[in-house]
Order: sequence, then structure tokens, then C-alpha cells
Amino acid sequence: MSCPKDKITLEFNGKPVTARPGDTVASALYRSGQRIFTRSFKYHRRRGLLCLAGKCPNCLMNVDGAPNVRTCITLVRAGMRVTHQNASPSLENDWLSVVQHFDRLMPVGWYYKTMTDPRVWHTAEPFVRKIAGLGTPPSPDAVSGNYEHAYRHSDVAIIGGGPAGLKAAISEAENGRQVTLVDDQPELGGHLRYTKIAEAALPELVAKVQTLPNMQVLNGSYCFGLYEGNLLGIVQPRRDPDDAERLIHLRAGRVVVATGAYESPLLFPNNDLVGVMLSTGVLRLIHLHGIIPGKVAVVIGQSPLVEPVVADLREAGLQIAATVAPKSVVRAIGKKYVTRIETRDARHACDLVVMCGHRIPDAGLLHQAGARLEWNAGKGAFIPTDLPAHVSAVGQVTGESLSAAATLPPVLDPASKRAFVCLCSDVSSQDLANAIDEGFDHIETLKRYTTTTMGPCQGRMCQLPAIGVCARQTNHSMAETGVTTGRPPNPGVTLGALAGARHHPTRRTPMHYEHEAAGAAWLDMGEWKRSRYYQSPMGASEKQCVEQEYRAVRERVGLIDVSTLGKLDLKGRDVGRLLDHVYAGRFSDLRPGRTRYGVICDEAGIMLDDGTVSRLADDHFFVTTTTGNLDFVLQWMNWWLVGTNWDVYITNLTSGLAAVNLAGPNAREVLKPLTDCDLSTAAFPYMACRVAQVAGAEAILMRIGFVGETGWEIHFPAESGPDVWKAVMEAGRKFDIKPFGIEAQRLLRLEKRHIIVGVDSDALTNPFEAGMGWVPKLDKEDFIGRSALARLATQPPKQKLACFIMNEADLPEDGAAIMIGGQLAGRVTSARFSPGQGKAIGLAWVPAETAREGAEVQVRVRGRVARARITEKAFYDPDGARLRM
Amino acid sequence: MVEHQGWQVAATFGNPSEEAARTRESVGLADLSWMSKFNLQGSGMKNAPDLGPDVRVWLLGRREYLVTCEPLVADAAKARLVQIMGVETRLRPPIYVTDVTSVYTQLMVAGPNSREVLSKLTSLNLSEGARGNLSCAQANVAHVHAVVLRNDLPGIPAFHLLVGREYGESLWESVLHAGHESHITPLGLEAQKLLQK
Ligand code: FES
Repeated sequence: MSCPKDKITLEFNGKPVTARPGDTVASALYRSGQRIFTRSFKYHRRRGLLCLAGKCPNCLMNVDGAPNVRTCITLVRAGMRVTHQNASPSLENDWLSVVQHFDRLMPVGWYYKTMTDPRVWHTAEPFVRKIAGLGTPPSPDAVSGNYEHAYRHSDVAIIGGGPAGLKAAISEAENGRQVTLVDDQPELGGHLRYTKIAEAALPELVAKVQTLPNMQVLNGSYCFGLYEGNLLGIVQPRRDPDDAERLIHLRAGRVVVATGAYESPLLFPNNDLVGVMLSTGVLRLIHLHGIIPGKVAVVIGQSPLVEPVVADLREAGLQIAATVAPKSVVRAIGKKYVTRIETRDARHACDLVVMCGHRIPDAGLLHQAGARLEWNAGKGAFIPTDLPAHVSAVGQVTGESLSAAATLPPVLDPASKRAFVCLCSDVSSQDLANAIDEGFDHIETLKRYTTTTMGPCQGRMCQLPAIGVCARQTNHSMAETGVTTGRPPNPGVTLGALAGARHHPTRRTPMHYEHEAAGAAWLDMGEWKRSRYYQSPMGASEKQCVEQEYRAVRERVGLIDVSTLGKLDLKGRDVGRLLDHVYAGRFSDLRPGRTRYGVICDEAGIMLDDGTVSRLADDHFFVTTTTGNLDFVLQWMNWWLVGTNWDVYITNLTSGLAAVNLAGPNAREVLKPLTDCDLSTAAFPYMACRVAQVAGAEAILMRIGFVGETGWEIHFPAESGPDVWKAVMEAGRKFDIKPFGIEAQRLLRLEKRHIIVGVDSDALTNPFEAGMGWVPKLDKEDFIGRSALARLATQPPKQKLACFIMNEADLPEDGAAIMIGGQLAGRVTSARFSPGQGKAIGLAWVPAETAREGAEVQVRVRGRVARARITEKAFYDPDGARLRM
Repeated sequence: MVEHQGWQVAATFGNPSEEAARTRESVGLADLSWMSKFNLQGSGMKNAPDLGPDVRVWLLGRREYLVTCEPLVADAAKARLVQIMGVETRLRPPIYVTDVTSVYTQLMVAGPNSREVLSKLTSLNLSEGARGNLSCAQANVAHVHAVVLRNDLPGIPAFHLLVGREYGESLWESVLHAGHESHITPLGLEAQKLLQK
């Protein structure tokens, strides 16, 4: 007998329980005297162990914070904390069990009928919320990062470690294939572990499997889905608390399903009493755990299934009170536990009822993969047929060694409201009959209306009896009734496993740490980290900081990191042609050394992206895109290149180049000592570009002005990022240079009426409405969106993007409503307080007739209506004189 | 940190011989972003050019190759390319060379457990049969698009992950996280030299 040193202690509801090595949580608790394992979902009836195979809802508990753990297949670990669920205050006394006495008020589908009235719902909601659901989700801090995904590949995957699976695995491996064997039980062997079968050569098979080098065994792991392309979803639970719960994505050349057959319960009143168990469950307790679950048993079943079971039970020392046929059972009797079985002609006292239930091929994975489940009357089961290519089945899942004689068709006459078909949601045969009478007489609608087969067991315990009752009530055959569709995941998967480890990619610009040192307040733009503004050590407010950055750019000089812009290098003889085709503007005539603004429209003339195009040499262009649209623009260009045979080669240099925008009246003075390039307006005019050295790095310089001041956008190798940034800041010190962030940039550009595609425009905006009718060059050769743009050019737009300035000191939010005469007429896309104007300014969509100088509109500002005036010109330097200085 | 072929590179994270030993036994992670890389495209790129024994040329796509080498030999490789192109430009079709050294962060995951670690981050099949030495592929690694190059150290399988430079720190952390169970070690330049022997 086991000595104390191999005893394991776990905690159940706060009390210590001793277990033996090899015990599951359920077997350890059963040995310690626990008989009630859970309370049922709806009626809170007592439920005890039933299948011991992880296939029913009767042993779900909370283990180490995780709800709904199937304790009968979870091995014990020292220090495990197990608590019951769905019962209050305790499993033995659950006050909600009174509910079952009101079952008349809660017929099947009652919530669909009663909760339609909002008043009823409001009264019922707090109570329903309290009692609904099964188990409590763990708190976010209770779930550590111990979840991960893993990707595996093998030639053959075998699902099921019973005799058929073991043999298949061995022969595949011996033929030189890489084999992965997946089994959901703690140990390999399937039914050989607990039944006495003469051919049993289990130890040899297991030993063989473990020695083959090209075999990987995942035991205690369950496969919950078989997806397209033979992708298997497998969960490998934690072995110890430090371990990770792992979701394995296994891609297999072939899948062999050897999931065997399982047993499902018989239908008779009170078939859910504690002490009524499946024969395989009883045999598991006896042979795997050395537990004899009772003294006097009644065995219900048919020949030839019952005889070996009876023999086995006798040998274990159980007294068999009677062996009765399923047909003759009238009901089970018992208050807390089963105490008697009443048959048509007798009553048998007992403390254990052993059901030799239906044998059901575990064909869920095959069904998911596309196999058909066909009723086979000779075997009394739905048998998988028409297996998809590269998926096969072996062993009992194919219906091998099943015979209809073993069990009767799963029907019950008459229906009873205590003969439970669905243990998960307490649906009785009477409930099903009622639902069918209400018109839900198709197995799929019956499933949805009653939730039968939709609970934690996912139909394993209830599907066959439900089909039986449905067939009987509708006078159809089993074959005509058919099965419900099985979908993954089955069995259920924890959300943690699906989510996996937290690898959130973060994109940092080359100057990230310079910004951090300068006190950047971060803004997440997609995966990018950008500086919203720079906090002042003096603790100034965001508004004050932004205003200081704004003033630096307008009055002196400022520097912003624009490395997140998309940057594409285009080489080849036909680049101009591609750009002419993809952009609405013209680029083939752009001279080397010049930059032009470009807008991409789609076939309907909708604006998709904007950016700059610079020609560095005859066959070399450099294109920038907005931060978020890089991937799209790259794909868009490549898409239009397909099949053209044009000499165009695109390299994405976004990651390779850092970029800054140096802007302000003193920008030239700051840059001059750092570069060999002549920066005078004569040599380097507005909208020109050059390749030159900047602070020792080879750079592309473009003289453009998003913020409306003299300035250069400078692109240079990412690894020089921090050095160039520091050099520019140092050179700017005597001009009191300031780094500026997104907020200041957005304000500066708003004063210039520069729009941001995707912020001020939306998925329906064309250039004419956006006030950029000069962009499309309709006289060039065909390009994307040309016919749509040509049509739009002749139609007056209904609405226009216009600038507005508030009359008083109100600041509308982005998205605020524009009203005219009390009617909703448009919306604000961007609004900021402009220090230059002393008022809030912004861009808004307004009716075209309102988009004229001096028109009055109302803007909704936090529930009030404030007045604003439309202006046609940019607020700041409308003629762009400062850009050309 | 030491200066290495014009780059600042970590010499060691503590103990070079221990870093090397742990890599031999299990798995190590090194930053090789200093390696020179350039992209070759163009209708002239029908076959991989021969750029000498110290330069690796990887086929990325149709008429697109990635060249990797140590900075010391990069100039020689470029000169050799110019030579090849010199002949070809007259003949057309052209070849375009773009330096992409700065585009990529290059991390090397080396050691017998490198596959185990990477299998937590990518669905790419890294088995010997599918991804032999000197093969390359593109896949998502830790949710980031990566070029995966297999370039073994003597007797040790090694995978190089090339991702956009801005993802560097993020990927480094993800690999260390995935390798925690295998006691992954960061590898400095010193240890890399030991492993080359
Ligand atoms: S007894 Fe555990 S799932 Fe059935």
C-alpha cells in the first residue's frame, strides 16, 4: 500500500484532501467521501460522477481559479485549490434547488416568452445575472501570462491513444513517418486501461510507442477542432503551476481519428440521481483508482453488454441486487442519493445504479472535417462516412464492434419531466416533447430552442437520446431525423489558451529614446509610439506645452519626428508611368530634384491616401505615404503592376529611414552648419529635393511645408537617427529650438487648412468636396478613378469641407454636430484652439451652399449650441509666402 | 559594447563562455543587425549572382534577391555586382541595387532548442526536412512579418529573423519570453566568435 511520502495534499473548499499519485481530482475527492460534485445548471439538482471520461457536465469545478475544469481527467497536483461551483452555500445544501419545485413556471423556452417585456426584464435582471452562467470567470490578475501557442508539423497525426490509435501510430512510425499521437486521458490505453479484454497487450503497445524516435506523444491533451488543411487545434493543459497552458496548432499531412466510442446514459425518470453511473465510469473508478463505488448495485442493460460488466463488478466485491432491462425501468428513487430502482414488477434496494448505456462513436472531429454521420440500424449508431481526403478513421469510431442488440433505441414512453435527456441544461424528455408540440420539430430548431446539445458536454451525453425522442414524437426514423451539426471547439477551450502569450508588437522610431528623455507623452498610433507632446519639467498643462511647441515653430524653429511615414523607393524606367496611373496627379513630367504632392483615389474617385513624390534621378523616385496606409499603398502599386511588364521595382524603406521635419523661420540657419547642401531659396526652392549629407549621414532633403513654415523634411538611415536628432537639436540651441509632437503639428496644419486623409476625409470623400479640385489631372492618359473624377468635376458637390472659426471661446470636439437653423447639417472633423487666432478653429463638412466666406453656422459644443463663421482661406499665411522665404 | 566593423555591438552580457555553452546546450539569441544587407531586383536578376564565399544570396521572390554579408566584405560584394551589372546594363535588362541594411533588425536564434522556441512564435515549419540549412522563407514571427534565414553555426542550427528595424526591441522581448522555459541566453559578439570555432 502507498506510504505517506507519496501522498499528495490538495485543498477542496478550503479543507485538505489527501490523494494518491495517479489520482484525478475527482477520484481523490470521491475517495475522501465526496459524492455530490456539482449542482445542475437550471434546477440545481445534485449531480455526482457519471462518465469519469471527461465527457459529461457532472464533475465541473473550479481548479486554481479556472472555472469549469473537468476534474475526472485532471491529475492531482500538490497544493491544488479546488472549489465547487453553481451551488450556494454548499453542494449539500443549495438554496437554489427550490427552483425545481417551480418547474411548472419555467417550461422549456420560458425566458423567450417572458423576458420580452422590458418591465419584466428590468425586475428580473439582477436576479438572472446572479444565477445565470456556470462558474465564475477568474479575475484578470489571477490569470498570469502562463498561456502560449506552439506550432507543430507532422506527417501523420493520430487522435486517440486507445488500442486502435496506438497500433496505427506504431505502424505509421515504423514506416518512417513523423507521428504525433494526441490523447485526452492522463495515460495512454483507452478502454484497455479498465476493461478486461483478452487481447490486451497494453503495456507492450505503450512501451513501443514511447521508444519510437519519430513519435511525439501529447497525452493529457485534447483536440478541440479539425480545420481546413488538416490543421488541428490541441490544448495541452498545465502540468504544474509554472507551466504554460499551451494551444498547439498542429498541421498534419494526414489525420487518423481513433477517438473510439463512449457511453451515454439511458432515459428513465430520475436518471440523474447521485449514484446512477455509466458502466465505464464505474469500471474506471474500480480499475484505475481502486475505488469500489458502493455495496449493492443494480445493473441496467441488455445482453451481451451487461454480462462482462456484472462479472467484473462481482469480482470487485460488489453485490448485484438485480440486472434489469432498460425497458422495464419505471424510475429511480432516492432523496440525496439513489436508494432504489423501481421496475414494472419489483423494487430493488441499492446504493449504486450501473447503466450499460448506448455506445456512441466519438466522431465529432470527423463531422467537423466534413464527414457525414449516417444512421446504421444494425449498429444502433450514427457512423461516419464520406471522410474527406487525408482524413481516416480506425477503431470503434468507425462503428467497429458495435451492435444494436446491446442497447435499445433511445426512447421512453411516456415522456417524463424527470427523465433528463440533457444534463447540462436540465432538459427532460417531457420538455423536448413540449417543444416539438410547439412546432420545433426539426432536430436543429429543437436544439436551438431547448439548448439540448449546446451545454458543456456539447451533445456527447444527450445527442442520441434527443434524436431518439425527436424521431419518436415526430414519427420519423432515426435516419430521417439526423444529427445536429458539430462545430469546433469541442470540448471547450479557455479564452486564455486562445489568446496565448501577450506578444503585442510595438514599433519604436529610431529616435524613441530621445523623445523619452525629452519627456514625451506617448500616443499609440496603430503599433507605433509617437510623441503627442513633450511634458515640461515645470509641470505645465498639456495645453500650455502644445502652445509653447506651436510658438517655437511659428516664431523660431521646431523639430518633429516623422519616421512613421511610409517611405517607398521606386526604381526603373517606367516609374513615372506607374505613378501617373496610380495617383490622380501627374508625375511623369516631374523633373529630377523636384517634389510634388500626390493623392491616390480609387476607381470611384474616393481619396485613399496622400503623400509626396520626389524624383531623385531619371529612374529613381522616392514616395512617402501616410503612417497608416503604407501597406495599402504598397499593395495597391504592386497590384496595378501585375501584368504590365513595366520596369518598376519597389523597395519598402520605411523601417530603414528615420525622418524629421525641421520647420520655422530659423530652420535654414539651424540646418546650414550641418550640411554641405546650399539651402538658399535660389538653390533649393520650395518643393525641391536633394540628396546630401546631414550631420554626417546621407540624407534625402525635401523642402515642403505641412505646418506652413520654411522647412525641410529630412530622411536618413535609421541607425543615424539619434545622432542626427541630437546634432540638429544642438545646432538649434541658440535659436531656442523645441521638439514638437503630433498635437502641435495638427494645430499648425489646421491653421494652414492642410487636411489629413482619413481624419478630415472619410470613405466617401472625393477631392472636389475636400477643396482639392486642382489635384486630379483629367487631361492625362487613363488613370485609376479618371472617369469617376471627370463626372464629379462637372457635378456641383452637395457638401464641402470648410474652415470655420468660433465666435466665442468655445472648443468643439472632433466629430461635433454642425447645425443650420436648428437642423443637423454637417460635422466637425478637426478642431483646435488656435493661439494665432485666439479662438478655436477647425474643419467641418457643411452643405455646399454654406461653404462660403462669412456664412454663419452653429456648432454643438458639449450640449450647447455655439456660433461659428465659415472662412474660405487658410487662417495662416494663405498665400504661402512664408513657405517660399 | 564594442566597436565592430563600424557598429556599436554588445561584446558580452556577462560571461562569453557561459553564453556559448548555454547556446550549445539549449538556445541563444544574438543581435546581428550590423550585418550588411542589400536587395537586388530587376528583370536582369534571372539567377543568383555569385558574390564570393563570404556573401550569402537568398531568393526572396521572383527576380528578387537579398544579399547578406559582413560589413567588411560588403564593399567587395558591391564592386563585384557593379562588375556584373557593368556588363549587363549595356545588354539590358537592368538590375537595381538598394541598400536595406537599415531596414532590418536581424536577430539570430541558435542552438538545439531554437526550433522549440521559435515554434511558439511562428507557424512556419522549421523542421529539418522543410527548412534545411541555407534555406529561406517569409512568415509572421510574433505577429510581425519576418524573413527567416537558416544559416547554421558549425554544428549548431541557427535561424536568422529579419524584421522591420522598428520592431527590434519588441521581437527581442518576445523571443526571450518564448525561450524562458529553455533558459535562453543573450549572446554577445565574444560568444559568437567562440561558437564559430
Ligand atoms: S464525470 Fe467528469 S466529465 Fe463525466
